[in-house]
Parts: sequence; C-alpha cells; structure tokens
Amino acid sequence: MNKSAILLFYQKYKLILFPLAVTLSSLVLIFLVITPQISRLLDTNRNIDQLSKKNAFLEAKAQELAVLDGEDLQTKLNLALLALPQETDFANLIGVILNLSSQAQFSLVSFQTDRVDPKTGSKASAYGVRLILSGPKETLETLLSDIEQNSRVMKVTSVEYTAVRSDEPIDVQLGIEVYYSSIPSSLGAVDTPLPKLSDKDETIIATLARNIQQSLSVSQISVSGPRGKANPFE
Amino acid sequence: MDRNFKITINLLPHLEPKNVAAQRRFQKVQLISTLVILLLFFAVSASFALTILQKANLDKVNRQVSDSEKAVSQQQSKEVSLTVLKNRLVSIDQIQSVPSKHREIFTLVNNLTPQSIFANSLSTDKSGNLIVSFISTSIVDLDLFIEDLINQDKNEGKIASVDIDSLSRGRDGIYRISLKISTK
Repeated sequence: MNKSAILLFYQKYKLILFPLAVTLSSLVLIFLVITPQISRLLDTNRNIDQLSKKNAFLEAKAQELAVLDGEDLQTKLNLALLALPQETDFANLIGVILNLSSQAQFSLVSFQTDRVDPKTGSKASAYGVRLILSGPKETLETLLSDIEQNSRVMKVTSVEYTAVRSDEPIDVQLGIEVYYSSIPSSLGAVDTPLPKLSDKDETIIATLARNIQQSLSVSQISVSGPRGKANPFE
Repeated sequence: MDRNFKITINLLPHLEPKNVAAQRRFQKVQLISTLVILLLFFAVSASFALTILQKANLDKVNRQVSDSEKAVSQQQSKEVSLTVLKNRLVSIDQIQSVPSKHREIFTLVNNLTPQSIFANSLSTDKSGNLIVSFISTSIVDLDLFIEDLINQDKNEGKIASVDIDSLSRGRDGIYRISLKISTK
C-alpha cells in the first residue's frame, strides 16, 4: 500500500476516521491521565482533611496540656498511687495496719498474706491478708470501718472471733482484700484523647487527701527523712 | 455576427452539491474534535496544576501536624501523669462503689444488739452471711433482738433471712442462741 493509496483511503473515509482518531485519543487521555489524576487529587484532598482534623485535635490537646498545673497533677497522682499502688507494697501495708489497729486499741498478733482471684470487671488486682488482732470488742466496728475508709484501698472479706467475757480482749481473725494496680501498658500516645477528671474524680481525690491527712495526724508519722545524728561518728 | 457575443468557459471542476455538504460536515467534525481535544488538554493541565497546589498544601499541613505533635510531646509527662491518675481513680471508684457485705452485716448486727445480749462468737462466710452465737440472761431481750433483725425497717433491707441453729438454756440460767443471718 503506497502513500497515495493511504491518502485516497483517508479522503474516502475521513468523516469516520478523523472522529475515530479523536475519540480514541480522548479516551486514552481520560482513562490514562485524567481519571488517575482526579483519583489522586481526591485521595490527597481526603488526606489533607484528615491531617487538618488531626492537627486541630493536637492543637487542642496541646492547649489543654498547657493549662494543666503539673505540680497539682503530680500531687494528685501521688495520692492516687498511695491509695492504689502499682505493686503489692507489703511494707507500707503493715504500717497502715499497725496504725489502724493501734487507733482502735488493737494489737497485731499475726499478719499473713494470701492469694486472691482477680475480680472480673475491675482493672485492679488484689491480694488477701489474714490478720489476727487482739483488742477490745467494742472498738472492732471502728477498726473495720477505718480499714475500709482508709486511703489505701482495702476491703474486709471475713470477720471471726470468739469472746469469753465482755470485759476481756478478743482475738479477731480478719480477712482483708488489698488492692493494687499495675501501670497501664499504653501511656499517653500522641493521638489519643486526653482523659478528663470529672467532678466524681475530684471528689475521690479530695476524700483520699482527707483520709491521708487524718491518718498522718493520728499516727504522727515523720516523713521528714532519716532520724538520728547527722554524723554518727561525732 | 454580433460583436457583443461572449462565450464563457468554466475551467474549474464542477462540484456536485453532495460533495459540498460532505465538506461542510467534515469541517464541523474537525471543529468539534478540536474543541474536545482542547478541553481535554485543559482538563489535564488543570489537574496537574491542582496537584502542584495540593502538594504545597499537603506539605504545609504536614508541617503543622509535626509542630503540634512536638508541642504535645513536650508535655508528655503531664499526659502520662493524667492518664495514670485517671486509670487509678476509675479503679478506686469501681472498688469502692461495691461495699463490703461482711462489714455492713457486722455493723448492722452490732448496732442492733442490745446491751443485755453478748455476742460470744461470730464468723462470716464467703457470701457475707453471718454465723453468730449470743448469750443473754433475758429470753425477752433475745426475742426482741430477733424481731429487730427480721424487721425490714430496722435491718435496712440488708438481711434476707435469720435462721436459728440452736437455742438452749444452761443450768446457770443463761440463754445461748446460735443464728445464721443471711444477707441479700
């Protein structure tokens, strides 16, 4: 087929061939360039929207954090950690039990720890403590009440005693559940919402602070540091 | 012969009216096709221009996000403290919202027990039920005491049932009663 034959063929069918060529090239442009480009534009636009929302969220979070009083927060956290420590903290517990029992005129005879199955629905873990205390029967109710209202989160799980005479001290066997809670595994990821302290939370903190203050004023525990001479060799 | 006589000869090829119509149709097709192609090129150019603008916008937003993340990270210690504090408070509230049955029943029975009755033995089981032995010189006081225990107003709706395991009177004239007090 020579050139003149092609030209002749084109001249004869140009009304069909020209629009066909234009249509084909248009389709190629639409499907290979315009459609992917528009799709990319839409995706990027969606991405920008998401990033803008994230930025607005982060800016709000940064402002909320800036407003928070770091020292006040640390004080509240210390109170909460005192009430619900991250570990079993037996040493502190013995101190608390001794303090409470002495307030109720009881003396600690025996202290024994026990395992407790974790409660379903509660994030906290617990261990059991079996106590034998000796003291007046009249103040047993106060002792039980003080145990449950103490800043350290505890619950009475059993009470058992035998009394011979009303004027004689009794030996009480008490079962106590003592709570602790490990630190949450996910802490403060940048894009997680900031938890807010509700009025209820503030009430709990105030109660904890009051209870700790009371127990400190009663026991007069010195927290000023080590006692004794500064230099024992002098 | 007339001097004004003229002969006109058309040297151009005679065009059929059909061919003229086809030519015009082709011109129309050419025009429309050119417009379509131009429109498509405009669309392509516009999309590329938009992509460039969008890229700049995306970079700007990414920078802003990065700055905000930095601002949040700088105060992470506060966030960690707040998260741990909230976690503790939720746990404390969960625990304290369920009162101890053992203490409640002990306090209730202790408060309802009159001076003339002495609880010489007491124990609670796992469910918070109370098994308690009382001694008293007065059967009337014991009777009133048991009535108080089963009275819904006085027991604050906390006692489900009171079972008498044993009741005896010793040679010394002292009544001994053993009760099982079940909580709700």
